[in-house]
Amino acid sequence: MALCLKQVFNKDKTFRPRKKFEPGTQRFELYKKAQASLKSGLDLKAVVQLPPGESINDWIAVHVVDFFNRINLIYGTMSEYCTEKSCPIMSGGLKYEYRWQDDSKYKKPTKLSAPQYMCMLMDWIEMLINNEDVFPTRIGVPFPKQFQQVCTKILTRLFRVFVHVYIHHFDSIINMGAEAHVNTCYKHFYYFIREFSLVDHRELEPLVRMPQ
Amino acid sequence: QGSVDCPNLEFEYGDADGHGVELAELYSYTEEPELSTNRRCFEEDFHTQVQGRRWLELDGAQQKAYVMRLLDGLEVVNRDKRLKVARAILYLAQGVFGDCDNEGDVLHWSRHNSFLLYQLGTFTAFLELLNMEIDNSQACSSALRKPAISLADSTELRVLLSVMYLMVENIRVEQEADPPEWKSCRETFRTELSFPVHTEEPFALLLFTMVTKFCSGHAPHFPMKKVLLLLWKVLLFTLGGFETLQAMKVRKREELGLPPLPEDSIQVMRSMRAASPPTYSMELMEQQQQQQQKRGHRSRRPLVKQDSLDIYNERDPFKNDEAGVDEEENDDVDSGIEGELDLMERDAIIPVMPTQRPPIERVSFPKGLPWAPKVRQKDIEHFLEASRNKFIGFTLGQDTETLIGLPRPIHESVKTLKQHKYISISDIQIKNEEELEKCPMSLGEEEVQETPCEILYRAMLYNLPQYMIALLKILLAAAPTSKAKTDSINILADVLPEEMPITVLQSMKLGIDVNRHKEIIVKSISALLLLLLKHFKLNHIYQFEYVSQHLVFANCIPLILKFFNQNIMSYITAKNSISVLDYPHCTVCDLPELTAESLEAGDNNQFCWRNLFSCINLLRILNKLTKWKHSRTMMLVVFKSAPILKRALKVKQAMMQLYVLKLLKIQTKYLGRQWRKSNMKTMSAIYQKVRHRMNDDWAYGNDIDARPWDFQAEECTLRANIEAFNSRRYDKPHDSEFAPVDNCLQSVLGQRLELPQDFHYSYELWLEREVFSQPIRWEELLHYQ
Repeated sequence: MALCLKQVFNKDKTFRPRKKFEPGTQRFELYKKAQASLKSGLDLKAVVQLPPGESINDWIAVHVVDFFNRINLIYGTMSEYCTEKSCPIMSGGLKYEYRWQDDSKYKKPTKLSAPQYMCMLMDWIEMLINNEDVFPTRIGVPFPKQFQQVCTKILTRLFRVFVHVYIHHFDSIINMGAEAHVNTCYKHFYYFIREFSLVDHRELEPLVRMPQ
Repeated sequence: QGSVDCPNLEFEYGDADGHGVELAELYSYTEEPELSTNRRCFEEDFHTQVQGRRWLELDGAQQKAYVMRLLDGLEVVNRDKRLKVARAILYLAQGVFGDCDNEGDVLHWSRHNSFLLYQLGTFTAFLELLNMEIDNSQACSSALRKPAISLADSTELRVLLSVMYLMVENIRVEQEADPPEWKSCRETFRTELSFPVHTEEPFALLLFTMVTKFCSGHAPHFPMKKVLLLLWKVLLFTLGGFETLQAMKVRKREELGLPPLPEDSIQVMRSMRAASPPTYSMELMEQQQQQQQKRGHRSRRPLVKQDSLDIYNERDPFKNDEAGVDEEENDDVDSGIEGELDLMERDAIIPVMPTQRPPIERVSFPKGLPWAPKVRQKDIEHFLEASRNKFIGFTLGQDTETLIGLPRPIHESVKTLKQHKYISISDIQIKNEEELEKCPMSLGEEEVQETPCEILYRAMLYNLPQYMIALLKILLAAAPTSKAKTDSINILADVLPEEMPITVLQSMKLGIDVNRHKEIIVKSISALLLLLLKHFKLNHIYQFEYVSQHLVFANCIPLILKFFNQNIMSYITAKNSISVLDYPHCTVCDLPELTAESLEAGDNNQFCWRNLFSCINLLRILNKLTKWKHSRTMMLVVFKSAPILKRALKVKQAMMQLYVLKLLKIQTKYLGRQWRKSNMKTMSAIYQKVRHRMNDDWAYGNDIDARPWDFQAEECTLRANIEAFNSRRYDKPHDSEFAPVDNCLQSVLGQRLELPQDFHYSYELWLEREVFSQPIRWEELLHYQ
C-alpha cells in the first residue's frame, strides 16, 4: 500500500487500514489474538452503566481504583521486558510520545523512560487515591467539586499504559498467554471512559482500531 | 544464589523418615565404638549362662528367662555393674547384630527383642534408673566442674535413653505382619505412656523437665539430642501422627454436627507440583540477550499455556489449532532460563505433561485451583455491615439474615459467601467457652474428655512457658547460622569425644558429625512443636493459643526467620552423613578405609530428608503462629521477612513452597504496590496454590499504615481469654466468687470476730442505720453482670 503524504498527516489513520486479514498469515494470527477475550458472559458495555440509585462519583471512584489496581498488575506481568534500554522514552508507537509533568519535581513536561514514567504515574495515582480529601472513604464525607476532573486526568494517564503495552509489548503479553485478560480489561476500561466521557477523544487516537 | 538449577525434589512428607533412618539417627558417629562395647557386655554374660548357642537359636521361653535374669541384674548397688547389664540389654534392643548377616536381620531382631523386653517390664525398670540418674547430683556437680564436657559424661544416660528410644520407636511403628500379641502390646505401651497411674505425670513430662534442667545450666551433661528424639517419638506415639490427626478432626466435626471438610489436605498437598522459583530480572535480561543473539528472534512458544486460562473456565478457541505444535517444538525448547519462564504455566497443567519422576500415586483433581474457597462467619458479618452502612446508614450487629433495603447484587454476594461458609472446630470451642464464662453455675461442670492430649496439657500447664523457652533456646543453638556453644548451653556435649581429633580426617569426620547432630536436634524440635500445636488446637483452641503466645513471647517468629535467612539451597542439599558409619550398616559390614574424598562426596541423595522436613515443619509452625493474628503478621512485615521467604521459594518442593506462599500472602497488602508489581510471578503462584478467601483483598489491598496501636490490644484480649479458660478448667476454686457461703448458724456464731471497741456502745444504732433502714433492692440482682 503506497504511502501518500495525505495519509501520513491524517490523524485518523494511525494504522494502515487493514480490513481484510488472510487466514494463515501472521497478521491473521495476531488479529485473532487481539480479538481474544474472556467469554465470561458479561456485556461490558452494559455493565459500566450507572445503576439506578447509585451516586455517580461513587461509581467512578470505585472504578478508578479498580482499574488502577488491575493495570498496575498487568504492567507488573511484563515489567521485566520494559526497561530503560528497551523503552528509553514513554511512547505510544512512532507517532506518540508522552512526557511527565507534576506539581513537584517535574514542573515542565519531561521526557522519561517508560519504566520511570510508569513509576511516577503509579505513585502519583496512589497518592491521590490515598488522599482522603480527593477520595473520601468515610460515609457521609462528600467528594470534592473537581473530582471528575481529577479522575479524567488519572484515567487519561492510565490509558497511556495500555497504549504503551499494546504497541510495544504485546508480544510479551502473547508469550504469557495473557492477551485475553489484557483485552478484556482494556475493553472494560474503554467502555467505561466512553460511557462517562472521561477521556478526550484525541487521547484515544493511538488505539483507535482496537475496540471492535 | 544466581541461576537456579534445582530439580524437582521427590519428597514424601510424613510423620518421620524411614524406620531404619530413624534408628540410625539415634547415634552419633563418635558413639560408634560403643556398639562393640555393648556386644561385649552381652556376650560375656550370655556365654556364662548359655554355652555354645546364639541368642537367635533360643526359643521364646529361654529368651524370656534370660531377659528376666538380666533385669534382676539391674538391681545391684554397684553403678558400673548396672551399666554393664544395661549395655547388654541395649545390645539386645539393637538387634544382636553380632549374630546377624545383613541389615534386614538386625532390624528384624531389634524389633523382636524390643517387644520382648517391653513385655517383661524393661521400660518400667529403665524408667526408675532414669529417674535415679536425673537426680544424681554427684554427676551434675562433677559435670559442672569440668571445663569441657564430652560424651564420657553422659554414658549412663545415653545407654538408658537409647534402650527406651529403641523400644518406643520399634513398637510405635506398625507393620502388617505383626502378630496380635504385638498389637495389644503396642496399645498397652501407648496407654502406659499416655495415662499415668498413681497420680504420676505422663512420661513426656519427665523429658520436658530434663530439657528445662539442661537449659537452666544445672545439668549440662544431659544428652539433649537423645532426650529430644525420645520426647518427639513419645508424643508421636501417644498423641498420634498427621493421619491420626486428620481422622480425629473429621470425627470431631461429625460429632459437632459440622459439614465435612471440603478436601483432604494431606492428599491435596501430595498431588501439588512445585512452581518455578522467581528469577531475578537482571539475569533474565542477560539471558534473553544471549538467546536473542543466538537465534535472532524468539521462537514461537507452544501455546499450551493457554490452559492457565481454564482457571476462568474459559475454553480457548485457538487451543486446538496449536495442539500439534507442542511435540514439534520440544527439541527447540531449551532448558535454560527461557524454558524456566514457561515452567510456571506448564506446571499448572496437571495430568498432561509427561514427567521423568518415578510414579507416585497421585490423586487427580480437576484443572483449576486445588483448594475450595472458604469464608468465615465474621467475613459475612463485616461485608453486610459495610453494605448496610453504605446503602442504609445503620448497622445490625451480627445479623446475617436481614437483607432488606440492600440492592440485588448484595443479595447475590451474600448467597455466594454463605455457600462457601466454613465453620471450624475452634469457632465452636470459642463460642462454648464464652457461654461457660457467662453462666458458670447453670451450665454445670464442663465435661472434659480424658484424652492423652488433655492429660498432657494439664500436666504441662504449670511450667509450660519454661518448656517453650527451653526448646527455643536449644533450637536457636542448633540453627546452622548460630554458635552451638553459647554462654549458657552447650548442645554438643553429647557428640564431642573425650579426646579432640588430631588428624585432618578425624577433624572432617567430627565436623560432619557435629553438623548432623545439630540437624537432628532441629528435626526433633521442629517436629514435636508442630505436633503439640496441632494436637492442642484440635483438643481446645485456647490450649493452642496458650502455647502459641508463649512461643511468640519467646521470640519464635524472629528465630524461624533467622533460620531461613541462610543459604536454604545448601541446607536442603547438605550431605552431613557418612553412610558406612550409619547403624545398622556399620554393625554387619566391614568398615572401609575412610578418606577425605569419600567424606566430602557424602551420599548420592538428591537432598537431605531431615533438613527439608525441618524446614517444612518450621514454616508450618510460623503459619500457625501468625494466621489470623494481625499483630503477628505485622511482625513478619517489620522483620522484613518477604525477601527471606522469597529465597526459600527456590526449593522446588510443592509443600514447602505452599507454606512460604501462605506467609507471603498474608503480608502482600502491607508490602506496597511496588512490591506486587515487581513480584508478579510470586503473586501468580500465590493465586494458583493458596486457598482463596472470598473478600480477602490480599492482591489489591494497600494498608501501608496498618494501625499499630491495635496490636497490643489484640494480644491482651487473647491473653485474658486464655487465662480465663485455664483458670476455669484447671484452677482449684479456692477463693473464687462462687465458693459456697457458710450459712449454718452454729458455725457462724461460733466464729471469733474482732469487733472495734466503740462497736459495743453503738451497735444498736449501727444496726438501725446499716441493716433495718436499708431497703433491699431486689432489682439489682437482675442487672448484675
